[in-house]
Amino acid sequence: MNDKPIMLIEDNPDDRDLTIRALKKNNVLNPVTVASNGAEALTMLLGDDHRDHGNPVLILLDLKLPKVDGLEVLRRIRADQRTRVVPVLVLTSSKEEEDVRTAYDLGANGYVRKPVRCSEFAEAVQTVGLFWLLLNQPPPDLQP
Amino acid sequence: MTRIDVAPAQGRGREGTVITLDSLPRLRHVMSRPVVTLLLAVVVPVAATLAMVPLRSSWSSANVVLVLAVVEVLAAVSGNVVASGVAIISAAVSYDMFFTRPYGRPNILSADDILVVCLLVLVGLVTVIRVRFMRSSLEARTRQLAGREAELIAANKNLQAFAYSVAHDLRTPLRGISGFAEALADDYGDRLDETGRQYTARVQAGCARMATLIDDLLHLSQVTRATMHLQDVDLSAEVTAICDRLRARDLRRQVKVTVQDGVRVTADKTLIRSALDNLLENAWKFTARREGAAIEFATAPAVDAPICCYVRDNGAGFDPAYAGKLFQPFQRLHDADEFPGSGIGLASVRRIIERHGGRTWAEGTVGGGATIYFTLNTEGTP
Repeated sequence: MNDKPIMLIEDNPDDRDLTIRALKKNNVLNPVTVASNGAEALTMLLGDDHRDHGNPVLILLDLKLPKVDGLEVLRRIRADQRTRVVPVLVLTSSKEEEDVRTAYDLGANGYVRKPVRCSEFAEAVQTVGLFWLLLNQPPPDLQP
Repeated sequence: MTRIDVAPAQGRGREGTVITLDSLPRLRHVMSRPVVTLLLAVVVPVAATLAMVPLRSSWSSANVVLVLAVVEVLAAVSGNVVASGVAIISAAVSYDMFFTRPYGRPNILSADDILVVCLLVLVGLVTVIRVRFMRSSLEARTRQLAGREAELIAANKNLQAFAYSVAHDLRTPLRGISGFAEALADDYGDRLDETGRQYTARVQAGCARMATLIDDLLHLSQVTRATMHLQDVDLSAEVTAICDRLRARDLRRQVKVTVQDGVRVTADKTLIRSALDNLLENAWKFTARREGAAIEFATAPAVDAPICCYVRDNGAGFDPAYAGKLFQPFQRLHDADEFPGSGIGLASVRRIIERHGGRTWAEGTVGGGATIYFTLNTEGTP
């Protein structure tokens, strides 16, 4: 199960590199596919490419994204039969109650505020992310 | 001990206005009923004229004054143009009926009578026009004020949203600086000498301080914007819970906590809890270097509000000369290395208390501990 990719949807290159580094530091060896905006993420998840790659084992989703924002991406992921059950961990600097509630309403599996310190971020990924990566049996890919 | 009252007494000014405006609208309300107004417009001039009959004078000046007064009052209080007209006509008709005809004088068309009637009509018209003008200018002013208020509210909201988004957006680059400084220390620390490693540590410490500042700023902005949900809150229980948590966080500290039982208020639970959190954390922090540290939560006699509470500690205290600065954001009365903090906590407390219609003030001396008082007056707050 270590060969299945984690999908990181994040527009900020610093956050992207730091997230990937934090995953590596925590011995998460899965390859990471990156989408730098919501539209790209949706193409990769729900477009023609889907048949080639299959579902990622976990989606790390930023809420503040250019083009299609994170909540909309989440809504579409949950609306599609193929990606309905893929675990989604919302990673964002926003702590607006409204966003948290909406994210959970839309079916996010976890919500982690990006802490400023990388070690704290690593902890967040470990506590929420590793649960889905290691303990949880990922749902089988659903056929469309 | 010096008592410093730093909160603006908003409540009192509002009450003052209420008293002066209270009785007039009620009178205006009764008078604005057309039946009452018209009845007065007919009855008062006729009665006044009849009262003048025994005098048998052709025209009593008292009658003129009385009728004019009725017209003025009717127009001013009811703003009813018809009523003013009716008052003028009934005055003229009753004058004709009771004075002119019974005594065989020429009818209403006699020169002095026409003069009197013209005078009445003129004064009536001027009064009506004046009232109308006053009314419209008052309405225009009210509209203008309402517009200003809406603008202010919008500007305030914009400012809050701005503060929030600035604080929010500041976190993003800070995360980059801090994250890569940490990566540098972790991954390349062995290639740096001692000074180099100290520099990266300082970068990280600076980032951590700024992160705290930004978080507190966000909190302040959220406290101001959050919607209020008033409910019954047991402050004593909240205080006890917070103190238990503080104790669990630092088991080495010996702090005597005294909590008055059964202090219940109507408040927004999340907000008031956050205010108590700030106050008790402060008390906890400033008694850190004190043998026999003691913190007390209790109520005090309230003067201008239903309830007044205080949080008292016997910690480092403060110089009363600077007490006014205590509740201002980013104002600190202690060195950062002595007692760390962003200086936003008490500003948040004040905002929260003000949103509950209350006031905050502080008493204290250097080395003699501090007492922070707050009142709550949620009646009438939305």
